Amino acid sequence: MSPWQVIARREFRAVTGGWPYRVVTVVGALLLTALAWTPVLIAPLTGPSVGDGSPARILVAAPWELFQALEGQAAPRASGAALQLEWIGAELDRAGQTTADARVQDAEIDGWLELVPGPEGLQASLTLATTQRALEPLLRQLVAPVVWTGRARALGVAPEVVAALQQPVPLEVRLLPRVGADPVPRAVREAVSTLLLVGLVMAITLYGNAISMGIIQEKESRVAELLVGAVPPTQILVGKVVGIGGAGLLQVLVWMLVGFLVSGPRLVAAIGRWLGLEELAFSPGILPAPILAAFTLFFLLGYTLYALVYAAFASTVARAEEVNQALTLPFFLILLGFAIALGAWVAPASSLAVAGSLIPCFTPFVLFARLVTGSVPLGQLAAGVGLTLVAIILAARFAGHAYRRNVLRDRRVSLRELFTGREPGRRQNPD
Amino acid sequence: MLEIRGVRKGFGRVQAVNGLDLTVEEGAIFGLIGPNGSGKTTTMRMILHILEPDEGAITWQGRPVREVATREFGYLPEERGLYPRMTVREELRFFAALRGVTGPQLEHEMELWLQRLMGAEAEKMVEALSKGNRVKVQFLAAVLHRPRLLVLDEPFSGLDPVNVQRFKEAVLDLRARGTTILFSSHRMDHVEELCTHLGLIKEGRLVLAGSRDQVLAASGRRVLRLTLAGPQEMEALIQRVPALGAGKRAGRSLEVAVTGGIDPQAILRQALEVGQVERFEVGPPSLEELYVELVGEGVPAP
Repeated sequence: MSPWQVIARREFRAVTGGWPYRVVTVVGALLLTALAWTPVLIAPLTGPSVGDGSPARILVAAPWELFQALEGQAAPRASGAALQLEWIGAELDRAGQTTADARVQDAEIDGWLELVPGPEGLQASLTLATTQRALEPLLRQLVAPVVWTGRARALGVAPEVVAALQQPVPLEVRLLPRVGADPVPRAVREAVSTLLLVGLVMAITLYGNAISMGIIQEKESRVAELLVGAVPPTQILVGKVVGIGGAGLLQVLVWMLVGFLVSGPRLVAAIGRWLGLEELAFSPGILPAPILAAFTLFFLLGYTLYALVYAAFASTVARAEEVNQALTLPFFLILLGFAIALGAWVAPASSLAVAGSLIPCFTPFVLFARLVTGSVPLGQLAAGVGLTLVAIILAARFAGHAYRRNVLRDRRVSLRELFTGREPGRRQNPD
Repeated sequence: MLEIRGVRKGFGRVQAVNGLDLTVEEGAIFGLIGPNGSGKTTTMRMILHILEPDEGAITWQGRPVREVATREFGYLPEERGLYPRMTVREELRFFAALRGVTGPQLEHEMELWLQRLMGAEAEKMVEALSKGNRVKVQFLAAVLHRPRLLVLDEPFSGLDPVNVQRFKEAVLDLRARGTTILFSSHRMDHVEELCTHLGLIKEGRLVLAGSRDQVLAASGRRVLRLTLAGPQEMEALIQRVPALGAGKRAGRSLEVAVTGGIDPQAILRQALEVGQVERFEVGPPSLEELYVELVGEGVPAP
């Protein structure tokens, strides 16, 4: 086993051995499951019930026989729609209407309906809470046959004829997805994609931080001198990046596997049936496999690039308290990449998005965002990934030199010295 | 053989090592001494290829140290540091594996060393060890891969006298197995006791080097060390030989430079007449005296 492999194994075990790693892995998997099931989770919020599973309460002011007819209409639908009609009298005076409005506003009831017989037939009025606007079509369906019956009676049509006319039309309904159509609401997809992008930024930042903290702790604890006495510094750096990156990759793969499984149509259908959610018309595929694969690829590219840059900058400080200051520049680059990626969301083919895809420090974020929102020309994809790989090689050389020069320094190294390698002309104790 | 030829190393305006030439014979215990800031640690780091010289060359058995340092050298740095959340055995296996040493031979060797130096402490996590025991773990990490050259920077700092003795025995054992040892220390008594060869560095230059006896004799001076039965006897002797009054006296012991006015044989005869002589020695000055003399008052040109 090569020295870098020994170091990688130690770093991997050190990261994965602690409880925080396991907790983050489980929490991340749960979050991804929640993302995949977003439509199911938000369905109750947009459905016709008040959200706690109880039926919507509608007060009805109408002559008793009309209310009975209305209830008769509602009965076949009530099981699915969860609608509860309550009779409050033949009619409401102005005070009664005011009281009913107040009960709607106080969320005591969901609405009230008034049916008043008049010289030109039935007058119907409906008051609903704004959150229950979805009930309007259903109540229209309930009221219409009752009104028609009244009109038919006024016109002398026999009740049997009216009943025959009102028989439901047998209609077999089949639903087919349209080719290329988005089965998931666009807003939901965008929200999930944004969260994935944020997750990518966080993962790259957190694991980059893990590298820098490891380096600074080894400098502080003086293990660094033992290490560089046994292994060339470049191998130490490679071992660290591979070991900690391996831990990160394992975590990402677990998340992506969970995301893939919970987005799978069969599993989703089975879980939907188990939960009694078949009628929600939930479409899986909110986390399609190509997006999960892209997340993994761009995590690897972004992590490797930024881990090396973080390592170089972290080697310039002597104390953990200074490390955040030292990492300001690379962190700013990450934030800038994130901002450009958000812009690419809105305009994936804009000049900024294309340019951002080809600048290695932004590529992981911008290309990922563009891939999620639409297709990216293969040439741009290949160029972005290729340039990032070249940047990783250059960053490895830069970080190797910086680490070697600075790992035993017990003073802060300036940015100028980091980039030029020239030491300032100040006295220091060499022994 | 370790050869350092014309090596220079600077940090900013400070020339830490300034044209150093040094040879360490295989099988020697070489003591590198010098004041703080003289370039000892920088020299050791260059030998281990942790730092690269600005000029000059360092070779081991004729090969540049960059080709051999990681596998054939062992290093105990002055600054102590280990991974705190590993057990002693995990730590030792890790550092041995870095040098490509694993398997039953390592386990056997490790158990022997742990029994010898650590005892029951070997079962603990490193963070639970005392400072002295951490030094021992670092020492073991430096020797388990059986280095041909062992570089020890201030190996005895932080150790109690019992452990210092164990360390000395370990160093002598390693030498008996053929390991070449280069070490630095500010404790001249340790250096004088252990080293076969010595080198004194000052301001990045080697100002004195050779076998221990050669170095000690380099001043050309001799010192008489005398211990009598009691202080009264010593007082009586000084009255008989007033020239002894110029020496350093501590109770019943006396140390005085042998000059024209001091005849050691005559003094021995006088001492025997005064009473029982417990120690009578004529030899070179101690390394500590020599060191203080050379470092404190300026070093003569080599």
